[in-house]
Formats: sequence, C-alpha cells, structure tokens
Amino acid sequence: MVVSCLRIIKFAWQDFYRNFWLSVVVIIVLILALSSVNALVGLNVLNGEMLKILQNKISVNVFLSEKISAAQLANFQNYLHGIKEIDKVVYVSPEQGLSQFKAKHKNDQAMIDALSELDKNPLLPTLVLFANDTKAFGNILAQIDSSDYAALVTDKNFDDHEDAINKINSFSEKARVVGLVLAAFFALVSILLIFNAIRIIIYTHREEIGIMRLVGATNSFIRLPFIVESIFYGLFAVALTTILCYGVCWLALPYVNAFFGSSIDLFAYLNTHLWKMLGVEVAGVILLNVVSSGLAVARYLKV
Amino acid sequence: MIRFRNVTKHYEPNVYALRDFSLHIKPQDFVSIVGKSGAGKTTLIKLLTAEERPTKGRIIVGGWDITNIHLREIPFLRRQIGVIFQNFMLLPNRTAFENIAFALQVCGAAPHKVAKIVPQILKIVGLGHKQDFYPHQLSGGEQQRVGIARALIHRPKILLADEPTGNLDAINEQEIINLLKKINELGTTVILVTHNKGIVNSLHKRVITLDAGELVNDQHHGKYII
Repeated sequence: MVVSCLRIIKFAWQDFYRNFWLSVVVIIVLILALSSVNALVGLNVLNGEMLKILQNKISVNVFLSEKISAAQLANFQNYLHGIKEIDKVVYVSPEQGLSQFKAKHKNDQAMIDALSELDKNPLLPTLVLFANDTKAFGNILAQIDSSDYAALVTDKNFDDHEDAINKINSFSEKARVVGLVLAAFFALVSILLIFNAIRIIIYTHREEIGIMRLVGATNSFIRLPFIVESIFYGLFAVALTTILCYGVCWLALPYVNAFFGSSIDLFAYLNTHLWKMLGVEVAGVILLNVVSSGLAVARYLKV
Repeated sequence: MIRFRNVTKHYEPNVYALRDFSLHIKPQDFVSIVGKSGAGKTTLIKLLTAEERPTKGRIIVGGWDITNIHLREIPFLRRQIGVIFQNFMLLPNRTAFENIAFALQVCGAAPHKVAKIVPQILKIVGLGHKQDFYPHQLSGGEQQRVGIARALIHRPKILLADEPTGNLDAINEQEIINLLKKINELGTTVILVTHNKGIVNSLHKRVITLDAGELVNDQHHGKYII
C-alpha cells in the first residue's frame, strides 16, 4: 500500500516535469485566481484600517461656559466618564485650543491676521468626546442635554466623517464585487485549463495506460497519478502566490503608509494570518483541482 | 482452464463477432486459433481479458465466472493472463529491465521483489545480457522476448499471443515459437492467434478454426485448413 502510494506520487511528479510548460501555464492561471482572492482580502484589510482611522477622528466638541470652575469641570468630566458609550474625554483649554487653531491655519494669513485683531482669546474651554460607536453620539448628546450640567454647555459641534465612511464602504463593496467576479472567472478558467491539461496528458500517456491495464494495474493506480498531478499544480500555485503576496506587500508598504499617514504593518498581518490563509487556499485549490482533474479522468480515461 | 459456453458477442447495428460459440481449453494446452480477418479471433482475446463482455453466454477462466466480472476484479484477472501482441507494446523510453519492472511496479510489488524477479525472467527469455538496452536498440525478436518476459512476470496460468510473429523474420519467428513451446512445457496454457500457416502446421498442436464468429473446426493435432 505504502509502496503503491509512493509510486503514484512518483508517477505524478514525473508527469508534472515531463509536461513542464503545460504545468507552468496551469500554475500561472491558478496564481491569477489566488491573487484575485488575496487582493480582495488585502482590500478588506486596508478598508478596515481606513474606517478605523476615520472612526477615531469622529468626535463631539462640547463648548463650555468660560466661567466654568475647576470643580464644575471635574464633576462634569466625571459624569461623562460614567456614560458607557463614551470611550474618551479630552479637555482642551482655551489656550490649547488657540495654539491648535493657529497651527491648523498657519498657512492662512487672512485667518491669522483676523485673529490678531481680537483683544482676547475667542475660544472657549472645550471637552472633546470620543465614542465607542459612531452611532452612539445622538444618545450621548441627549444625555448631556437632560443632565444637571446642561447649563454649563454653550454649544456642541459634531465633527462628522459619516459621509466619508459611507463613501469608503460603497467603494469597498464595489471592489469586493469586482474581486469576486474576477476570482470566479479565474477559477472557471483554471477548471477548464486543468481539465484540458489532464486530457492532453492522458492522451500522451495512452500507450503507458494501455500497458498498465494489460498487466493488471488497479483502476485507482492508473487514475490517481493524474489527480495527484493536479494537486501538485495547486501546491506550487499557492506557494508562489504566497511569495508574490509578500513581494507586493513589500513594494506597496511605503505607498500605503504615505496614503494613510500612519504606519500599517502589513507584514504583521500576513504573518499572523499566514497559516490560516495557506490552509484555506490549499484546501480550496486542491478541491478545485481534484474536481476538474477527476472529471477529465472520468471522461477520458477508460480503465 | 477456459470454458466458453454458447457465447455470442453482438455489435450494433448487426455485426456478430461471435455467435453461439462454445469451447473448452484444458490446463497446459497449446491451442492455435486461426481464421480470416473478422472471424472473431481478436474478440475472443478481448473477452478473455474482460476488455469486452459477452452479449450472451458464459465465460469461465480457471473456475472463475468472468461473464459479469466486476470492474475492480478485472486487474486481478489480467494478472493471471499474460498477453503479447504483434507490435510488442513496449515503452520506448524505458530499458528492457524497466519495461518488465513497470509491470510489477504498477501492481504494487516491493522494490526488492522487482530487483530479484526481473533479471530472472530476462534470463529465461535469453536477454539477461541486454537488460539495459532500449527497445530501439533491440531486434524485433528481442523486443518480442521482452514482451513475453513482461507477460510472464506475474507467473500467469494463461498466455495469450495475438499474432506474436507478425512483425518478425523467419529466424526470429521460429525463436519466438520455440520460446512459447518452452513456456507451455513449463505448465502455462498458451493460446496462439495467428495467420501463419507454416507455424500452425509445424506445431502439431490443437487448432481451432473460426469463421464469421463460429467455430468451424477443432482438431487436436490439426493443420491450418483455410
């Protein structure tokens, strides 16, 4: 049994390298199919990162009365910390607010000039609220309005990035559909290609197959090398796609970081998910290849 | 050893390769089957190796009814029946040794068994010194000897020879026939399908004559009479 299994693998390997260029073509198409899936996964990861960055920027500025005392401020902050939807509360004093405003508008000379015309700092003490969920802001504001601290609040400014998030979601949904269509297209081409590759190999081995039948080789021994060969295609394709994936990440990383303005560690993501990714891809490709080569063997290899 | 009972093989639309054919071949017989093209000789061989199934009747080989043999049992039947052909059916990119070893390897034989048996069988057919030669480096007679060695590798009880001398000159032809006789003397039933009148007449063995799928003559020390 073990000897037969090893011989099946050996015969499959012999076929694989004897039909080298045919094997190369099949592997290239499989790489294209796998790369489409990987691109889809990569796009989802980047999309997630982008959403995370935007969600971190969503905040509510609660402008307080300029006469608020330190004790009142501390009590109000304590109250806000008690609201479970609030993730973080940051106090910005009028002085800090002014310097941030100046830094933000340092290239806007008209704004700087207008500011210098004023006698005093026009900015109020502010509490910047960050929520666990962007949808919770409505509830947070309602709670503040109905609290004892409502009188200390002069205004509220909702810095909304919801539109950008919706645009990203819409884009990523379209990209996902395109990716899925591409992956399905390449998968279909792979099935047809493997089916035909195995058909050609069966045809070129017809003498050998005839002799195998003649001398009493079992049906499975005659058929299995062709199935195993298709598994070789899959394993090579997955290995090369993984190398390609690391290469693309290495090339794209500076551009991605420049775009997001922060450091996204794509390699850490790849390393963390490598085994899962390999497992899914190997299982998927083997299933696809076994089905298509099995169909070719059943159709063209009479035992 | 081999029994055909009222076997009919019908091909659509209206061709009868064998018609109500009955035959009994005893163990260690040497039987020549003769007949014109289309008489049913090749169909007979295909039925014996289960490449074809009879339309009617029963076929029994060594007490085993193979009429409706299951697909997965066919390899085991074929290991009991060695077959040689006019065109030798050797793999051109393998040596004589490898061609014979291939028959053992595809049936799951262990490497040490292959290494032990193949040289022995090559010696029996007189090719011990040419085991590393490729088919194109061997004469027609030698190629057919490799074919015979491969057919004998599983120690079959029956050897089917389908026009084994068709591609050979007179000297090689006689050598192959002598080898078949020797194999028969060692206990293997030999069924020789041939058109060669000289060979059949020189054998003085049983001759079965087929015509249009029917057995028309069966003589125990017969001659080629078509």
